[in-house]
This record gives sequence, C-alpha cells and structure tokens, in this order.
Amino acid sequence: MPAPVVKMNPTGGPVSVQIVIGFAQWGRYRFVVYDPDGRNPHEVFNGRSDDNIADYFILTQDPASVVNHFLHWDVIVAPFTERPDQSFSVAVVFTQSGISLPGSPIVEIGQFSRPALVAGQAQLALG
Amino acid sequence: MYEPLRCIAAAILILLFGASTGSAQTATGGQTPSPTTKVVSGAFSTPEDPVLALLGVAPQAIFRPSSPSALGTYLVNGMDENGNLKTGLAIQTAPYFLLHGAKITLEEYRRDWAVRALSNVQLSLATTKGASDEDKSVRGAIGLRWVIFDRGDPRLSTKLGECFYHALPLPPVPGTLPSETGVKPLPDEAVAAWKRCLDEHKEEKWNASAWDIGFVPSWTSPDGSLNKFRSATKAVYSTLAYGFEHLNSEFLSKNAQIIFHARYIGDESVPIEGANSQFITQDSVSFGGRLRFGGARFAFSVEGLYTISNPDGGRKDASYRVAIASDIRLTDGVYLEVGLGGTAGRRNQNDEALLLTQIKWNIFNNPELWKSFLARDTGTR
Repeated sequence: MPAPVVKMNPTGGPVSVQIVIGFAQWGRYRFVVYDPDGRNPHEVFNGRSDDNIADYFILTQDPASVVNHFLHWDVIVAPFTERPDQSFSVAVVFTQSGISLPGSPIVEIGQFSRPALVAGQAQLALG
Repeated sequence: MYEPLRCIAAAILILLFGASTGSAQTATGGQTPSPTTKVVSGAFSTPEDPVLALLGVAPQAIFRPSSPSALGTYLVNGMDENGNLKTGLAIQTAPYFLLHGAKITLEEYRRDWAVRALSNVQLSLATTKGASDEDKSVRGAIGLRWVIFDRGDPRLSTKLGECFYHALPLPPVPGTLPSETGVKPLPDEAVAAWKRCLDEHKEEKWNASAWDIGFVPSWTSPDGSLNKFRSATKAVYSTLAYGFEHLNSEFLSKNAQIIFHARYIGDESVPIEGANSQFITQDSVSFGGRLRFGGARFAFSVEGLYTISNPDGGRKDASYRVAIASDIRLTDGVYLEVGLGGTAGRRNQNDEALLLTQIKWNIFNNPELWKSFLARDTGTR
C-alpha cells in the first residue's frame, strides 16, 4: 500500500512533527527519512514517552528540500499490565506554523496485551 | 434503615464484599468442633468489579485497589442468593480513558493529578437474568469506582519505564524503505523481558498504598418486564491500603501491608437462619481490617470484620468475624487462599468457626485465563 501523502505549504515555514503515544502507554520511537527512491536512510529523531523531553522535532526548515522524500517511523509500545483489553494509539502530527497539514495526523489505534511494534510512514509533497 | 450520613461515614474506609460472591470457586476443608462450622470463600476479598459482585457473578480476586482499563465487555454467569443460575452481560469502562485516552500521554498522566484521577474512574454496567424458563427475573446494576490514588500504579514507576527501555530495543534501520507498515508483534525474547519487568514491579510494589471508593445501586424485575423494575440492593464501599512507605523501616515497607475497609449494603436479601428458602431484607454496615505480611508470591494475614445489621421488622444485630489466612500465588494471576476464623456475637444465630479456602484468579490481568474463561462460559467476547 502506498504511503499516505502529507502536503506541505512551500511558503509555510519549517515543518514540525509531533508523536503522541496515547492512553498513557509507554513507548519509544525513531524517525528515519528516506530519499524519493526509498533509499539512503537518515535517522532524524528518536525518543521515548516517559521522559521529560518533548516528543516533537523540526523535520526541515525548507519544505522544498524534502519533496517526495519519505518519513518512516518505528514505535514500540508496551502496556503496563497483561490485561487483554488495553488500548494504544500512536498519532504522528505534521504541522507548519502550528497548523496541521493535509494528510495529517496519521494515526494507528488498537488493543493489545503485550508489546508491539507500530510502523508508519508518509511521503512528503508540496500542496 | 440507616440515615445517609451514616452511609457516608461507613464509606470512609474500604470494605470488601462478603462471602459467596465468586463464580467457579473451589471450596474444600473439614469440620472443626465449635458450635457450628462453615466452609466459606472470599470472606474478606475485594472484588475487582463490585457490580458483578453485587449481582453474584463476579470472578473475584483483587486484594487492593488498582487502575482500570479503557473498556471491557464480557458475558458472565453465576448464582443468585437462591441458588438460581444467572447469565448476563457486563461492561466495564474507564470513561475518561475511553473518550479522551488517545490524547493522554504518559508524561501528562504522571504530571497532572487531575488526569490521573479522571483516568481512574471506572464505570461498570451489568445485567443478569434467570437461565431457566421458571426464573424470568432480571437484575441490573451500575457501579462507579474511583481509585483515588495508587502508589503501585505501574504508569508512575520510572524504574519500570527504564526496565522497558532496556528490554525493548528498536529493530535496526533497514537500508530501504519498508514496504509494510502497521502493528507487528515483537520477538518472544523481547516479550519475555518485558514480562520480567512487570514481575519485578509486582514484587516490589505488592504492598503499595492505594485507596479506592465505590458505589453500586442495583435494580430487579421479578418477571423481566421494564415497568416492574424496582430498586434492590445497593452498596457503598471503600478500601484503603497502606504499605508503610513513609516509615523508616525497610522490613515493614517491603514485607507488610495493612488494609482498612468499610462498606454499607442496603436492602440486601439474606436467608433466614433455619428457614428453608425464606429471606429477609436488611441493611448492614461493616468495618474491617487486614494486616498482611509476606510478598507478592506468599502472604500471611490477620483479618477482622465488624458488622452491624438492621433487618426490616427486626432488631439490630452486631457480629464480628476474625480470621487468619494465607495467600499463595500458584501461577500468574491465580492464588490459593487458606484460612481459619470464626464469626460470633450475633443475637439470632449461632457462632461459627470458618474454614476459608478458595482458588482466586485475577482473570482480568491474565490473558490466558481470560481466554479459557471465555471459552468455557461464553465462547465470545
């Protein structure tokens, strides 16, 4: 399935990305940029949900420099008990000047009872 | 009947629901000589879901308050006070988590007391009906339970988070863009490491302080018709557990816990001693406590419960129950409780010696038990 497209405003300023791991679940994550051919991975940000560091980074100052690139993320989410009916959500929000971009947020939501890897990606385009 | 203020006063401390509310419990044991001997189960246990306990269909297990989950729906069965088989549907949810949970981050949960408080409000709804053609009665109950604080809340443990971090590494970065996205299970060794983190947390926090409070009204219709629903048994309860974290005693903080409990049960139908299938309605207020020594795998406890009963058309009666008991963890979420105690002081009933034995399982915290429970009793969820 092709990656969803997030459309950036070419004159909208820096593009920011925020990850929200919901339901107060534990998570760690990593964001990697791939070129338009899906090669040359470059890690741009990583973190975890249980520290005091914002789960937020500036992807680029110049939207034109990442046109057609892919942003891929891997997130490990882990529940705090083994209950079968626990919920998780991972939302990746793209913004420019505080405004969510078309195609954003990209959300994965579900139920789990043990740790899982949530992988997602988006292709960046000018809108 | 008791006045509302007395009901509120009764809710200051925790109360564990009484005997014979569990389903599929195992009771064994012999006779002891005192005036009468009775084998009971769950004499002082707190039900995880008080709604199910009130309806007599609760798999019970929990010793102390704990955090609820966003949503659970399940079918239940059990016996009412007349011994009739009941089946029903129960829903357990944490409304704030359900409606707003996707936006609650762990950092926010730890930082904001109000978020924690709202997240730990649990709402339970349950209905049961007779499982035979002769029994058309329907009962329903709504329960509200609030975990006011829980020092054993795993979400608050930075140590547990650190353990997760080391147990759950990210996979290597692939050289080309992965073609698949979505949710994937982790390797077994990572899951095992995560489980060890949880076990270590349980071992360390088994006796952590916590406090919850709950309110459960119920209704019943003798023939199942909506216009005949009438208010039935209601309960207010609270449980306060203290793990001696504030005392400068390593022994107590690691090995001991004291639990206070209080409850009010109104309009409860109880069997009349010596009368076959005859019941009387009564209100009761109980206060009790339990002192536990041990750990997550084994605990020895001394328990006491004082109850004042006020039957309709009768005189107030008071009784007390004391017991010594031990909880042995057989496997994850499954406990064997064995104890010995007695009930005394009742005006119209004989004193009793009690042999307490039961298998208790924490079905909600054990996926495998959960699956087997559903397969046996309902087949679906």
